[in-house]
Amino acid sequence: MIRKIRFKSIRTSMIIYFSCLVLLIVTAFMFFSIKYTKENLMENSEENSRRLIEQVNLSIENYVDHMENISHVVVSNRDMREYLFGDDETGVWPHLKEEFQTILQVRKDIYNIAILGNNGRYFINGGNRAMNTRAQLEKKEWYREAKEAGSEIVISSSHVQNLVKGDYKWVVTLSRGIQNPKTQQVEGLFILDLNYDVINDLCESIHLGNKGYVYIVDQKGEIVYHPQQQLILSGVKNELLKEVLNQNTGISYKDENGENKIYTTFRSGKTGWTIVGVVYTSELVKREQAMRAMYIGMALVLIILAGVIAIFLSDSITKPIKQLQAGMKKVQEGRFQPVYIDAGGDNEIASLNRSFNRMTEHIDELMKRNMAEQVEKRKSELKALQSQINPHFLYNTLDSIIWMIETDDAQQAIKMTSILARFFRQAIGNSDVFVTISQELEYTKNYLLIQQMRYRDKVTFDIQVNPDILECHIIKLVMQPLVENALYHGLKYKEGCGHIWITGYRLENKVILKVMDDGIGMETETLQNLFRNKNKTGGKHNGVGLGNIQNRLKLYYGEEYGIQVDSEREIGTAITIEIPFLLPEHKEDTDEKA
Amino acid sequence: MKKHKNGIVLLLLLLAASCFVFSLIRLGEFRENKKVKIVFIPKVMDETNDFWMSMISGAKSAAREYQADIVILAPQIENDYVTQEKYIDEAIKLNPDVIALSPIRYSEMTDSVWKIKEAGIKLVLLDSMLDEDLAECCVSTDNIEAGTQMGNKMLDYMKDDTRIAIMSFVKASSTAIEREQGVRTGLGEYENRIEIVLYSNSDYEQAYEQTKQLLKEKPEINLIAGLNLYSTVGVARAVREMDLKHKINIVGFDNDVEGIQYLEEGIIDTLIVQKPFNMGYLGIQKAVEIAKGKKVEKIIYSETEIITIDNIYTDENQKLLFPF
Repeated sequence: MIRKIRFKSIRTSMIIYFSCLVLLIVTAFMFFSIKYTKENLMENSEENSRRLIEQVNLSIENYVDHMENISHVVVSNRDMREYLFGDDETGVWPHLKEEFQTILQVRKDIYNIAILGNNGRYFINGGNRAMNTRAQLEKKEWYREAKEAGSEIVISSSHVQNLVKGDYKWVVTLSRGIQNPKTQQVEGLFILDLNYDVINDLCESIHLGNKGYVYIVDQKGEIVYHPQQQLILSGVKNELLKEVLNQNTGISYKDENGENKIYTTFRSGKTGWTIVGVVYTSELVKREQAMRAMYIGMALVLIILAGVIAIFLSDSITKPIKQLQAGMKKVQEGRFQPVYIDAGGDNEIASLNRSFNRMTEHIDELMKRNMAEQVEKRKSELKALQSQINPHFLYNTLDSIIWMIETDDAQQAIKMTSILARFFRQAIGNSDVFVTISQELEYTKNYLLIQQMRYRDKVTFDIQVNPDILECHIIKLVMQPLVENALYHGLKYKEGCGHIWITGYRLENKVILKVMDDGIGMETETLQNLFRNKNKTGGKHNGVGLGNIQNRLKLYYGEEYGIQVDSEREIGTAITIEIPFLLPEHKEDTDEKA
Repeated sequence: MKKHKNGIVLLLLLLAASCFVFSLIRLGEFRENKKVKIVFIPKVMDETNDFWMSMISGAKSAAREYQADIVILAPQIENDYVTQEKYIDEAIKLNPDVIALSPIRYSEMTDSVWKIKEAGIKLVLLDSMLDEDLAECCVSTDNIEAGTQMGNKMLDYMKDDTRIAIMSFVKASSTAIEREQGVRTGLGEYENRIEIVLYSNSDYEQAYEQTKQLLKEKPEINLIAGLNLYSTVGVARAVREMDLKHKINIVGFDNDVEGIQYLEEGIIDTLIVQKPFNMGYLGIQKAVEIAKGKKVEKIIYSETEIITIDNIYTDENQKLLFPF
């Protein structure tokens, strides 16, 4: 079953895929290169061998040509015939000597030059060399063949020439019968020995690798030259002798040591010899190995390079993606900021980024709009709340007025009714969100006056506000609920008369208003309850709780503004309001800000 | 951070792989290219001495074929074992893989040869042995077998009145002892025809003088066996000079031009010829194999050939008798 491998990141998979691809390509390339080069190497080697042995052949044929030319000259020489067959043997002797010596001097490759007559006359080299009487020439193959061939030119294989007394030299013999002009019969033999050293040196000078060699066999498959002739003749080594005779192409052969050799053969038309060049495959293989090492090394370098490039490349491709990812994460966390990435051009990722940014912008806009709508909604809710006057307050006040009238306290009733009227005018008549502090204080004062009249001797109050803030703006219904709060939570349970202070002053750009009482104070718990229960609908007092005030202040002025409550049991409570110092001309700004 | 680590790991892996492959190739090449170094110390290097020149060329031929470096250190005259010992020291200094040695002496050189072993160099003996078993391999003529061949051949010349003299060479040398022993074996029941054994000390003159003396004192001798080249040629010279070739048959060992001439002339009837080229070749071949850690046979015998006037010019024997 094939399980798909998944990599953790696009980058890793890109690196791996890319590296694999390069590996594949390089390997394939290397494989074909090696194969091709190997073939080439083999072909070159064969070509080289062939060229070298053809060169050997050419040289040998050259020597043979020369020898043939000499033989033509000598055989047609009258002095020579006279010497062998004529009567004046001694007369031509000096001529013959001169001619033979000239040949020997000019051609250093000629070792012996001789004529032998069937009549026992002979002339060797300078005429001063004696014939080896023990030589038993007829036992020698080259001599028999020369005799059989009549007047034809015969080129022998290599052999030891023992014709001359005390001289045993390896030679190749060219021989040719000499006709007696009188009888027209072949009655003599011309012998020309090519120094074998010539062939030896020639073959040794050919280098077919370090180990390769050249050898020569004659028509019968006998060795003319072989660097290890003795080993072959005594059977220590084997060599292809007869096998190469009819081959004209390369032969591959494994020798007794298990070494593979390649034989290239060339047959000489002139001598009938076959010249063989032998190359060891192991040497070719060594070159091939070096070549292969080079190829593999190159391939590795390329692969490493490709790997490095893959890393950088995938980095550059995945980097904008990663940046985008990070940006998306931020958006996910709620920070709607546009992501700026260097995608490097106008590619898919750049356009993805653009789309993403556009989307973020849209979402951000929507969110903001949503939020503004929410704020508006809450403001209108609060506004509605503001205009609510606790009806119990009205009933109670009206009850108080009725009671006053009943007790014929008309003065008080009139006073209270007029205060109530003012109070309500302010509460209902003014639909604005903002009022001046003096208005707010007026409103609060009216409220306190009513309450004072209701609960005689229960509460006294004192308003000391710095005149420079009187024209300052404040949202409606802030002070009155605080005072109401002080009455119902602070002073209501206090024995005897309680007092409420209201102070106000400017502190730099802020306005500080304080409502203090010397009531029973509040527990922290109660305090918290007061903040929380903004919607508590108590029958006795205005439903506007501290929490509501706090919310409104923060909503309209910002987070840094609001109320702060300090309370201590049996001592009293102080509530501090902090709002910005805003004069009526700033009203518009404030509205906008809201 | 993590991605960088990945990249570095990948790179390192690639690098490691490449190093591995490279080292493999390098090692392979190195092993292939390491040439075996051999020092060959024959008994003598003398252009006129065909036997040793032939062995040296055999050695060179093998060295070329097996791509070994070969250094040849040889005394200029045979029997100079002091010089040869000096060359052994020199060879040890060259620190070759193998030393191929043809010791001149059977027992006197043992100390010298021990130094080779102590230096941790492998030893191959060619042609001659030592009295201690120090060599990894010996390549030589089977002297007993060659002697037996000679003895057998001598039976061809055996007549009723045949009396035999043996011209040996160095009295205590292993080859002399073995060849004589072989001859006796080859003669079989005719061993008792051996009248006398003489020693030429590998010197033409001594062989020649002793033969002349012998033939004067014991004219009944009509078959003489020369156990090496010096003895054989010395004997032939004496017989030729005394013009006794029709009366006396000579069988001998080894060959040079003079010996061949005597053979052609009929003074010498048979030569037992060793194959020095083969010996040199096989010696170096084995040396290379030993250096490469292959197991080789302890003793490798090189053949000998019986040469008479009838087979002197066959392809094989020409090359054997007339090296160039």
